Amino acid sequence: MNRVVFLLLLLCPLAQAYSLKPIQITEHVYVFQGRTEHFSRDNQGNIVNTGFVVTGAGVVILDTGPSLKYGQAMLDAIATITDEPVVKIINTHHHPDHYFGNQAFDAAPTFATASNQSQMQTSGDGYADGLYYLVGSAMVGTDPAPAQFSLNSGSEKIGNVTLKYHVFTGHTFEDLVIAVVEDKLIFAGDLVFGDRAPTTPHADIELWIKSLDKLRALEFRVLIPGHGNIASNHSAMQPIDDTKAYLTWLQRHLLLSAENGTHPAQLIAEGPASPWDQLGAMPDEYERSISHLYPEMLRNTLQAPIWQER
Amino acid sequence: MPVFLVKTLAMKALLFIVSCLVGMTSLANATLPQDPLKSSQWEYLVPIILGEDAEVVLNDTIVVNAPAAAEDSLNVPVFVDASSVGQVERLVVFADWNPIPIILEYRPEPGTPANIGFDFKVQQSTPIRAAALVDGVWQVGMAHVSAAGGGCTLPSMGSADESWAAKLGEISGRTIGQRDNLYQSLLFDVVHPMDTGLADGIPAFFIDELTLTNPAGQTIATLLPKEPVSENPLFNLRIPAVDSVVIRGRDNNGNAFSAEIMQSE
Repeated sequence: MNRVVFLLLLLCPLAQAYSLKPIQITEHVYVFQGRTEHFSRDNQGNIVNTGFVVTGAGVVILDTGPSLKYGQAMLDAIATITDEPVVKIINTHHHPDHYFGNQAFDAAPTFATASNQSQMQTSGDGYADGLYYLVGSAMVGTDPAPAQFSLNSGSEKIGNVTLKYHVFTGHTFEDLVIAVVEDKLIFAGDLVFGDRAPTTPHADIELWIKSLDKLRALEFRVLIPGHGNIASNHSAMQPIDDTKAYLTWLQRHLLLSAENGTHPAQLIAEGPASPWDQLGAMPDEYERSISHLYPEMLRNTLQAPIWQER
Repeated sequence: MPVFLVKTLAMKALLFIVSCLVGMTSLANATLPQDPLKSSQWEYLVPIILGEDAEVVLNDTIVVNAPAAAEDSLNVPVFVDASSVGQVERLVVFADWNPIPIILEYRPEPGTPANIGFDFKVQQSTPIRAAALVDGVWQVGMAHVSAAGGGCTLPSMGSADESWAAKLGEISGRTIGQRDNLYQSLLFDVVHPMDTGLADGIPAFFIDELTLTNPAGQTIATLLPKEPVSENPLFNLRIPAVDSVVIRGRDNNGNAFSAEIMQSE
């Protein structure tokens, strides 16, 4: 008897690795909303917003989450909404929380822009090492499955739905944004974060801010950020403006600190200023950003000596 | 021999061994305070790094700033400020679980604060200790960095790129703070691969000495980096205000380099 209970206890955390609940956002679009945190064993890497479009001629998947089990949980949850088969999987960019679930969708083709495809091929194993370390057992069985086909800006009609693809830059080299035209919905990927600190491992902050201005000019009523809270109607622009405000502050703060010669470890010790310290995934993301962006800024302030011998 | 006698003798021998072991541990612990970070390396490394009969006290006024989690295992920033404990003769910074524990030693001359920022390569999650020798006593401050790691056994970026040789030993820098201040910050970097010798087929190749002097030729401080210091090391020091600083360096292959950093306007 005791042995049975013990086995059940062992199995339970595995069986309940992810409980994904689809939230219907518009007529055709559903979203799985993740927690506004950094990766941890506790959250099992479920910190990302993924979605799917029920087109009438099959389901299109928008990003696939951090692990094989997450992808499988997506499939299970989608089956409670529709009988339509999955016909297409789209990855917005090459960060692991947006494509490590691809493995679960072996019956349909996976797409990303060409540069993201090659990034997935070269950096997938390194990302896997990192996520197995941070997330632990929820990653079991996950083996990076890079997108198989390339996708460019343009549009296509699938069933009753027109999907429009916009390629921006700044969060990574190529950030795909998907517009579901009939629903006036934008799936923004990681160009936009809602009440959650933006991540910057491959960021170019100036280009990112320019992309946010262009994104703002698109026509939409609902915006799904890559991480954080979903915004609709009168507040649809809010996460764009918040992301821009944070990035603007971060860039200026780091440049000023570099000018003052502040050491990165001192910056980390001081922590992010108010109100940014209130964002989700703080202070972790701020500390990561210092590592991504600050060393180059600091070295750029150095000057040639008046003489040197080598 | 009767069985009971064998048993008694064996028991006595066992007791003797146990009492010796207990005696040894209590002897080793006599001066060494308990490790707040509970690292099993603490009692092993302190005698090796600070000396067999080193007198050690913990001091949490020694600031050791480091990220709680290392984002980049090749460049973990650390900032140490031991100026609270008086004139420091030697400041030794080490990471318990690095394959080469000592990261660097800093020797500020009288009047120079024990204040240094640098980056290092981390191999796995580890405590980082800053031990400051003041009047014959080691005062120790610490922090903990968690890391997926691998930094020490990776080759330098430079070793994969031929152009580093042309720039080896190149120094850039600047001072921060007004001329009339008592102290100023000195920020400088040196082009160097800083290879640990732990990556396959790449021998250890690192800067092992840097000396700072003022225009009068007096030494301000001496820095003794070890293999774990990051590639193209960037140092941040606090020094008495001067018009210029001469930096003289040397690596373990005998390459020498020097440069003079002017007080910025």
